[in-house]
Amino acid sequence: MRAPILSLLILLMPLRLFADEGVAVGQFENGSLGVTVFANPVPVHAGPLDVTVLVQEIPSNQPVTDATVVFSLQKVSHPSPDRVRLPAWCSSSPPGSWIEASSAHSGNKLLSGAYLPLPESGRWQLTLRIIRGASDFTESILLDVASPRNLLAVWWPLIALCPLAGALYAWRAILIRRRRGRFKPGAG
Amino acid sequence: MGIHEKRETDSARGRGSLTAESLVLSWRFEPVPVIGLTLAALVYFRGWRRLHGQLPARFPVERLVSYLTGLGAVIFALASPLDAFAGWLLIVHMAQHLLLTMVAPPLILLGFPMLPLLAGLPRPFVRDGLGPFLTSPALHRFGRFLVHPFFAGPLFILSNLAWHVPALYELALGSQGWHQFEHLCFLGTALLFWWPVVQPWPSRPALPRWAMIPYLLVADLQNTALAAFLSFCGRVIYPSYSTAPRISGLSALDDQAGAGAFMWVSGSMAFLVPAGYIALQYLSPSRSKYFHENAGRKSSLKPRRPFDLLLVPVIGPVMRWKFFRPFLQSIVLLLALAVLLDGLLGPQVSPMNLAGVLPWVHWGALTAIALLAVGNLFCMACPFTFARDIGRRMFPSTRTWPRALRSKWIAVAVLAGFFWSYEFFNLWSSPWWTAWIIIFYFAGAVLVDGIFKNASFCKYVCPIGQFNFISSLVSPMEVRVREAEVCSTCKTHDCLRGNSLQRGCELELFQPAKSGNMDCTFCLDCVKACPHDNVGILAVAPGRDLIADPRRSSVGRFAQRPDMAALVLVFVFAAFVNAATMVTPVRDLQEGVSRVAGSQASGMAWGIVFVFSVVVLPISLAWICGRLSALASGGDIRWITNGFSIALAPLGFAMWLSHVASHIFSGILSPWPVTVRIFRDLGFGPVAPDWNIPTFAFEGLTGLQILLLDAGLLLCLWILWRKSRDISGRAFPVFLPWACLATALYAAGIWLAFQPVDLRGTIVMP
Repeated sequence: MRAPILSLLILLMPLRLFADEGVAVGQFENGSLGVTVFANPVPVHAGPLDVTVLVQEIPSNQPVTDATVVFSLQKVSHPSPDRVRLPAWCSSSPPGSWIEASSAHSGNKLLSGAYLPLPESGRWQLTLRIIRGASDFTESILLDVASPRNLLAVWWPLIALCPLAGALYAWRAILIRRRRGRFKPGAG
Repeated sequence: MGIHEKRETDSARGRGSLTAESLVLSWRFEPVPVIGLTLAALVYFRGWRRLHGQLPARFPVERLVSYLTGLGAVIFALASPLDAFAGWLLIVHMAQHLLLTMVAPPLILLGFPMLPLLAGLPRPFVRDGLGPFLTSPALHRFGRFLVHPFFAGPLFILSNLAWHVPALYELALGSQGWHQFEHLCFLGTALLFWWPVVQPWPSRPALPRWAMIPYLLVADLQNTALAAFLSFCGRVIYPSYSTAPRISGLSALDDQAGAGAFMWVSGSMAFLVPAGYIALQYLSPSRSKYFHENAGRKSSLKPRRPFDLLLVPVIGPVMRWKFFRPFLQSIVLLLALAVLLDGLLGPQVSPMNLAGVLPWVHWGALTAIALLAVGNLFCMACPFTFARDIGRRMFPSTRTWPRALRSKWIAVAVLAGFFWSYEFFNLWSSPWWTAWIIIFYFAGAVLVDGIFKNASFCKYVCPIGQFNFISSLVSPMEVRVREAEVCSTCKTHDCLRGNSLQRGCELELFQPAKSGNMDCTFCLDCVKACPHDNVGILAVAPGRDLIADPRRSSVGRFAQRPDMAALVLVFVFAAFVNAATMVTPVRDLQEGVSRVAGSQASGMAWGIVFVFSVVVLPISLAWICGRLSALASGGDIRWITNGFSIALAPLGFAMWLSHVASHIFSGILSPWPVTVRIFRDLGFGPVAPDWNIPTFAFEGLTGLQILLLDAGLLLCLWILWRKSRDISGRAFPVFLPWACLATALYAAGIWLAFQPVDLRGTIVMP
């Protein structure tokens, strides 16, 4: 019956679940198209921001997958001192440049998205340009960007594996000592 | 219908199929769960195969199919479009949860996973690692308590009810972490719930079998009540679904009612069908037949021989083929020549030149991956010894390597000098210098081995070889004898001396007395020379050779080799220093110093700092730790310092791996445009290279780096602890200074993993 614990551990260990597409941060309509914008993480922190967009036809709600979506970020508040260095997997384009969204970015293939660089905290304006056939329009969303996340706070579960393994090893040693005590000649 | 209308209809139909395609293709690949569940499947399969041979009636193919289908259901729930659209449609989210609670757990448990998983894991790990837990009476009681129907049933119901409370459901929808925890609760409590129902062998039931009928009926009652509430509530319970984008014709309320109906029907089937089956089983007169059919069968398992790579079909015969090594070496030699020529004649821009890309990014990373997965495969394919072998036909070596130089001290100096010049002269940014290093290397190998017999260059000089020898101390495979008894009757010792057809070990490693991978180039000469076919590439526990310290053939005891300890210390500290020089904060600091002090003075200062960090600091720290451990144990300081320094190798290797991981994922495609450029330069194609190559770096790369460092630290600490126990009854004071040193290095590694890396030799798309 120790096996239930073992089986559970073996099964649950790899069960780090999959990222969601984020939280809706904006919804707008223009002509025959409706657009929902998702961001991850929310609240938004300085660093890479995962932005995805769902474009739909109105009023049928039919998702549109052939629209071209591009993003641009512009700082609208004063410069902040807490600049963050962006990792290699995030675009390093300077503020104001256009970054094209891709449907390969998300698991959900109805969405187009990209990692956008937010090098510092403050208020940022996210501009989206949607192009589909004759429709070509831009919309903007204001994002309040908090200070960069402490990476220790993000990755602590993996760092905690070492102390956890140490504790298990110590527990194992205690169990072995107890077992030796139990089977010692003359011990009960 | 007019032409215009027809075009619009076609366009709409095309969009419709495109959307359906997008829906079906909305799968995610996340390496951690996929690799984790694949490992669980492989471990199970390995154990099941053994048990199937011994207990075919207990472990038929159906068990394997059931277990794998169960794991597949988990993957399907978490990676398929079900997960992608769970946040938009409650009915899809419900299907996902039902897979996790009512499909995957019973299927997994029907595979009787306990024994196959135990039999599939490495035996020493089960015996020494899990054994104390598995035989603990307290854990035994706790396990029985967890799967007791009076605990598992209410826990499952509570989990189901609690996570359907709007506040908690919304919490999970809005937060990735809580969503993960919710799924974990569902799967975990469902596994406990289904345990007494399936009662996987060899567990014993806590209640009579008939008790499972009311147990399942109560669960069904809860499921029905919840489903009915969702179906007939009349308002949207979870606000996220009323604001989610609607991608189907269903309104949020219809979606909720559909989810309730789905839960009702499928839940009832999941609970009532097994309840009915148990009732029939209980009433059947032949119910005990199955449980006794294996009673008379012996359950003893055959002893398991270690995995031998040379016995694997296709791979084994290919590796033993006479021309396998020359074939590998000639391929790498051609690559080396291409690198050399491009380095000398091509553009002197590192990311645009083969000499800037292949040696510093891909070769390092592929070598490290091969060392992690198998062993020292680079030395097996070494182009320098190939050139040396050709050179020896003209200059047959006659002298033996001087006795005074038979140590690793020259290699320590060359390795430290190589790391220093790499930083000081920015070798990575100079294709021309890279090409000259390759020329010097070829010249050195031909010259040294043209004068001295055997593989003196590999053993005493080659810095790449030393790097590989140390790394391979933690490799999972080793060239060694299959049966020790066979060697005890051997008189010819062909593995060492060779014979008329095959030369013996040039590094003077006598197989019966060989232990670990130190100084082994995986040349397989011993394999081919052994007349008894008694040498293989066998699986070993990584780091095993670092714990015990036997007298090894041609290597001796590590504790008596200060040169070997110095080599490992340089290898370990250089891993951290090399990574540090590429992260942005250190680069900023370097530039700041350069601005203040001038580039020449700054270069000198950094050169001194480098030598201090790679040579002086590690030796000083090792001496201090050795001194403290010697004081605690009363042992010899030299023995302790040498032996324990070598135990740091796993951490150093983990740091190298962590570092090269960031390079290889970022720039894996970087040779492609360089190759296109070379072909264009040679006049084979007019296509201009596209230097904007995509990066394969991903958000979880930092996590992968941390996991590698975790593994390195844990292996290092375990080896240090075992060594401390071996030399003193009071192991902890002996262990403590070294553990502090290893932990400090680990902390430095974590800090480095958090920093953006300057991707030398790589252009990536912005």
